[in-house]
This record gives sequence, C-alpha cells and structure tokens, in this order.
Amino acid sequence: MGLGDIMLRRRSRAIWADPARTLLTLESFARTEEDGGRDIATAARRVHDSELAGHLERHAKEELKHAELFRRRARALSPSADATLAEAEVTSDKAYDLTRGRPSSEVDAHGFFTLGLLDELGEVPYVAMLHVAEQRAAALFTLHHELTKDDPETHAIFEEILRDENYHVAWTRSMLDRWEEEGRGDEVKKALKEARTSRFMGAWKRAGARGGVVFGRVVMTVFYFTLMLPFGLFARLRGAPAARWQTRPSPSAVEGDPLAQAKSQA
Amino acid sequence: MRILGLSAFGGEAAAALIVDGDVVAAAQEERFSRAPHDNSFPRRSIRYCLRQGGLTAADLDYVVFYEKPLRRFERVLASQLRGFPTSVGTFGRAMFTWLGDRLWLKNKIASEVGVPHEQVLFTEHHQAHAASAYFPSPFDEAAVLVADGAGEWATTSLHVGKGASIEPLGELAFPHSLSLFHSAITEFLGFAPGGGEQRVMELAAYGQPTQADQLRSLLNFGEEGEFTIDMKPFRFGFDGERLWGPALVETLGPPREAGAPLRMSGDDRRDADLAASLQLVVEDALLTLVRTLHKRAPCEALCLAGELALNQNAVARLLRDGPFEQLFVQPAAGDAGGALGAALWVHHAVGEGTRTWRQQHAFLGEPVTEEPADGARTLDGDDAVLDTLLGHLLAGRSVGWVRGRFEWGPRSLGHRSLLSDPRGADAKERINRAIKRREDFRPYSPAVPAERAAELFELPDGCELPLRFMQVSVPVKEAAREALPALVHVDGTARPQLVDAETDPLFHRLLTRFAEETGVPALLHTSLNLRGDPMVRGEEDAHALFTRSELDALVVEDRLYER
Repeated sequence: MGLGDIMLRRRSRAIWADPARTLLTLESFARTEEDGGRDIATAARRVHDSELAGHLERHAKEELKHAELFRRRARALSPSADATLAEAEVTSDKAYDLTRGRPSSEVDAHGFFTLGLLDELGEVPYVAMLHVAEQRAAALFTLHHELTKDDPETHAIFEEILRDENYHVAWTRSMLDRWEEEGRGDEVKKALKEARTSRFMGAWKRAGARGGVVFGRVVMTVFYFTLMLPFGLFARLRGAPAARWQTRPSPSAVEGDPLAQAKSQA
Repeated sequence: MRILGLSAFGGEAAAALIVDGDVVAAAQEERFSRAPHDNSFPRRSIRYCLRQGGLTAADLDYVVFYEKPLRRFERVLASQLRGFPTSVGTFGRAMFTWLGDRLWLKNKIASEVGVPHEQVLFTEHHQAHAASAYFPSPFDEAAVLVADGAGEWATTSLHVGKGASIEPLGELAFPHSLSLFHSAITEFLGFAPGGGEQRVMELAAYGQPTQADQLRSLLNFGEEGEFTIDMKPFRFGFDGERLWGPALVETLGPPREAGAPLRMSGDDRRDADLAASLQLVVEDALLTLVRTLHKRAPCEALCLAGELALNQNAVARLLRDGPFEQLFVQPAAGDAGGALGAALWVHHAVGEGTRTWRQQHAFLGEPVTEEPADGARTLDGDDAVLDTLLGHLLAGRSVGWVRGRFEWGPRSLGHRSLLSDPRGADAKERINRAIKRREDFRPYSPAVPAERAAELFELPDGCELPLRFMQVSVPVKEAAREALPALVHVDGTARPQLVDAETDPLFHRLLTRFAEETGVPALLHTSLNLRGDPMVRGEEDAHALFTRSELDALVVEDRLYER
C-alpha cells in the first residue's frame, strides 16, 4: 500500500466518523455521479454504434440512479429539516469532490482536464477515458464499502453501486477489446495511455500547484512580518477612515473625457 | 455601438451585451456552469451574449468590466494592513489572488474575449450599479441608492439620474457597509452569506425584534444620514473565513451553527428573533438613507441596486414609509447587474448617450436550444400547451414549464418555472417534498394576472415594475389568506409576481384560464431548480431535474415529458 493509499484510507475513515462530512461526501458523490450520468447520456445519443449506445444508455441510467441513492441516504442522515448541505459545504472539507483544486470549468465529471468529451475525443478515447475513470471509481467505492460496515444502509448502497461499477469497467473493457480485435489495437492502446497520463498529469499538476501555494504562503508570511510591518503598524495606528459622505466629481467632469477615465483601472 | 459588460470575482459573474443602447442579451454565468453563485470569469455567458447578438469579438466596440481593479486592490491591501498582525492568515491568500491574476485583468479580458487592450474599459463598482438601476427604469429623473457589500471603496452611494446622465451625490467608504453588516449577522445565524440573506428575511417573520437595540448599538447614524459600524465584532476587511468575531458573541449570545435546528418556535425563538431584529434595523437604516437621499435629490422616483435591494420586505417598507412615490429595482440587483450597468454606463457616458431601452421584462437569457430528450411528446401549439398544463394543475400535479429565454436576475418569472395549484394546505409541503426540498419556514410566491392582483393583495402604488419582477412583499387580503394558505407567509404577506398580458401573454392566459376553472386567479410559482442548484438553463437541465425529482410533468416549449 503506497503513501497515497494510506492517506486516502485515513481521510476516508475520518469522513464516516464525522456526520457533517458524511453528508457532504454523500452529496458530493451524488453530484459527481449525476454529472457523469448526464455526460454519458449525451454521448449515448450521439454515437452510431448500437452496442456502444446500449451500454452508454444503461451506464447513464445507473449513474443517475447512484446519484439518487447517495442523495436519499444524505437526506435520511440529515439531522433536521433545515440542515443544509449547501451551507455546510461552505465551511467544510470537500475532500471527495473530484474537481478539488481545479476550476470546475476545466474538468469533466470524472476529474479529467479535458472538456467536450465524446465530440472532442471520439469514440475510442471516450470509452478509454470511461474505463480508466470507472476503474478508479470502483477502487474508491470498494474502500468506502469496506469502511461503512458499521452503517448497514450506506454499506448496502456502496454494495449495489459497486456491482454497477464492475459492470461499467467490464463493458468498457469489452468495447476496447472488440475494437482491438477489429484492428484498432494501436488506437486503443494510445487512448488508454492518454487517459492514464491525463489523470497522472492532473495529479502531478495538482501536487505542483499545492506545493507552490504552500511555498508562496511561507514567502508571503515572511514578507508580511518584515516589509509590511511598518506599514501595518502605521495603518493600525491610523485606524479606519471616518464615515462621512464623500463626493467624487461626476464622471463627465473628470478630465473632460469619460473614455479616458474608463480606460483607467484606478 | 456594441458594448459587452462583464462582472466577476465578487458576487455573481455575468455578461451583458448592448447594441446601440438596446440590451440584446444578459446572463449569469451560473446558469451555464451550474455552479451556484459562480463568480469566475464569465466565459460561457460571454459566448452566449455574442451568439445571441450574432456578433464576434471583432464586432465589439468596447468590453467593460464593472469595477476598477487597482482601486479595489488598494482597498484590499489597506484592509490587510489595518488588520495587522491578525491578518497574517489571509494576507498570503489575498496577495496570491491579486498578484497572480486580478491585477492583470485588462490582459485577461483582452485575451479571453479577443479584443485589443485599448477596447477594454472599467467603470466604478457603484457607477455600474447605479447605471443598472437608473437607465433601465421608466423615469426621466430619479434618485438612486446603491447599498452593496463593497466595491472598490464605496459601500453605499447616492446618485441622481437626469435624462441620459447620472451624477454622484455622495458615498460612504468601506468598512462601513450595511450590506456586509446584514451578511455578517446572516452568517452568525448559520446561513451562508451571499445567498442566505433571503432566508433570514423570511425567517424574520417568525420572530420579534427583541435584539434590535443590541444591533442598533453597533450601527451609529450621524446627522447627515451617514453611518458608522462598530468594527470590533466584525471582520469585514481581512478575515477570509468569517465576517464576524468573538465580540459579536458577547453582544448577541452564541451563534447558530450551520445545519443546527433553527430556534424559531415554542419558547425558544432566538434565531427568529435575531432575524426579525436584523430586518427591522436594516429597514430603519435604509429608510434613513433614502430620506437623506431625498433631501439631496428631491425627486418623485427612487431607483435601487446593490445586494440589499433584493430584500423584498425592505423595499416594501421604503415604499410605504419613505419619501419617494415611485420605485424601480434592477431585477439583477446584485453584482450580476453590474455587468449590465457597466455596459449601459459606457453607452451613455462614452457613446452617443441616448436612452432608448427601458426594461419591461427580464427575459434576456438564452432561449431553449437543445434537442429533446427521449420520451418527449410534441404538443400542437400554444393551446395544447395550455390545456396540458391546466390539466395537470387541476389534477393537483406539479409541472415544470420551460420556454423562451431564461430570466436575468435571481428570480424565476415564468420562463423557468415550477407551477402548482395553490389551493389546499398541503400545496407547499407537496412541492417541498417532491422537488424543492426547502426549509419549511420559507414561503412560495404566487403568480397572478396583473389586473386581478388587487383582489388578493393590498397593492402599494408606484411599483408596477417591482411587482412584475417579484421584488416587493405585500399584505395578503384576509379572504385570500384563508383560500391560499400555501402562498401566505406567517406574517400575512406574499411576494407576488404580477403577470402582464402584454409582456407575457402565454403565462397570462394560463393564469386566466386557471382562474376561470377554479375561481382562484393565482398559481403557486417558484423557480425550477433543486435545492442548492442554479435555475435550469434549458431542456437538458430541466429534463435532468425531471428525472431526479418527483416532478409530475415537464413542458419544454411544445414538448411534454410525463411519468
């Protein structure tokens, strides 16, 4: 077991020990599954291969079902009618939001950096991406399945979802195998490699970004207590400005040229 | 002249396009990104606006951002310094954000939109808000009050609009912000600031203002209507985690943790009482401000913008007790409205300056463009759509209705709506259980044909457009309270949308036909979204909601989805 797995296990255990984080995690899983389901449903409408379309349709329905299962469980565990997940989210850890650390606009429902999915990628890379993502999801849900033994209802949900996830891994593998048999082996291998690299690169970039942030904060803290110190003390002694109505010149009166004023950022 | 206005990085991100003074498109980013209150750079909204206008970036004369970034940076830096050394935790984060991104906004806008640097302009935050309130209003002369969190330095500003220009009369500077004060107490009550204020306003009806004096002691007004906030209990400037500090607990007692049960009934109504106290104090403060404004600009009409303009009870109070006779509130009164205001300001101050556009409706968003999902049944024309809707409503079912362009601003006004029969005590509970999953204390709004609204409500004069945009709470008449309990808040008020036959004939026809069938000229009406999600954008979002919720039926344009 690598360090990453140990950390993941510790974080996951902490989640199920904390009711607030449990709710957030269930809701986060629901959102991810739902987003995934919608992507896949869109893909199902666009592919021409009837076997692939059939798998995608079923896959999409199951993802949406998972979302509903997670949501229902979150509602059942909610301590009161007014316990709002959205509010709690503001102050709590979003450890299992797959978009963590990245702008949501730059990642797809499975945490990949690419956008556009089927239209952008094409059928083979899209299924390869699904295959890699579902393998990871299955591993993650296996861990949560194991950690929720004390909560039979949540445990049962993970059990049901895991069955579906295993099917998802299997059908994506079978499609890739079929394409390989049809002489598209190189394409399949390349797509799988890119899907795995995309995830690896994503992790690498995230780690780099986090390291940079930590280093930058250290530098800023040093900066704060050295260069900013005299200015800070001065500002503090001076206090907040008195509240009084201040009047600015009207925009049309400034420099006689509103355009010049509008070009200024200050 | 073609001007694209943008707002981002503060409240809600949005884009608005005006061509020769007419507003062609305006939309919040959250509708596209599906992230509630999305404040990231509004790429998708920009794309939509250009698409709607049939333009490319090369066709734009100007792109205008609703804020002066360097002046805002000055305020952020000064606040950090003033908080020395407590601000150490947030200094690094603030500098990262600003030095890494926000200070280079001109470059970002130029490269993201694809225009030369010299075409990128900036208005002041409050200039943009004031323009968003006055220029779309029906008035040729009006006083303008902007009560917002904080832009560059200004938190509260007074203006007067005459013809095609707006003159500033005065402004109060950060940190003395009534809106941040409201948000801080909202957060103290366990709701998220920047979204929970509406809930606190609704919660207020369940309490008594028993803590108004404690709150007033934190807010001191001067002789000229200016106010200061005692900053000891607050952390507006430098603490990115929370807007209030331990000293507020000494004044108000322990806070409510997010998610904890609300103390709003029985012997312990502390949360509701604090909400009621806050509502009263904020209303009083706004009233003082508009009286000050009226002395400086003795007009008949008042235009409002800024976060506090979204408080429907406060708007009603200003109309009832204030010196102005007529009122207009920008439908997107928060930061999203700044995108529209910035574009309008440039049109009037930099461009030819004629006022050609007056806001009659809020349908400025994207039309339904997606292909139908599986299972859609096509209805034959508007009559069939109305028949279907009516059939479901009369059978006690809840229906989603999606058509035309989506609404500009936070409220659904009939184009992305969830409708239900308002009769019966369980109407609200039914919607809550099946779809909205709202807190029980929150009321739903009625939609009524404008000409029949007086049968149900005590309507104030001078606010035709705010009533159309669902911006004023009004008392419900006694008879209606009994007939429509789901639509009446605990204090006997409602927030109706008056539907006008001219601006929204189809919705008006539906309401009229429902009234013919039932004798009740109102429908329960709320935005089509699940709790915590933005309103649906188009058919795909609506269909996803339909599959996820227990909504009985969904009508998208002329297509019907049923279970």
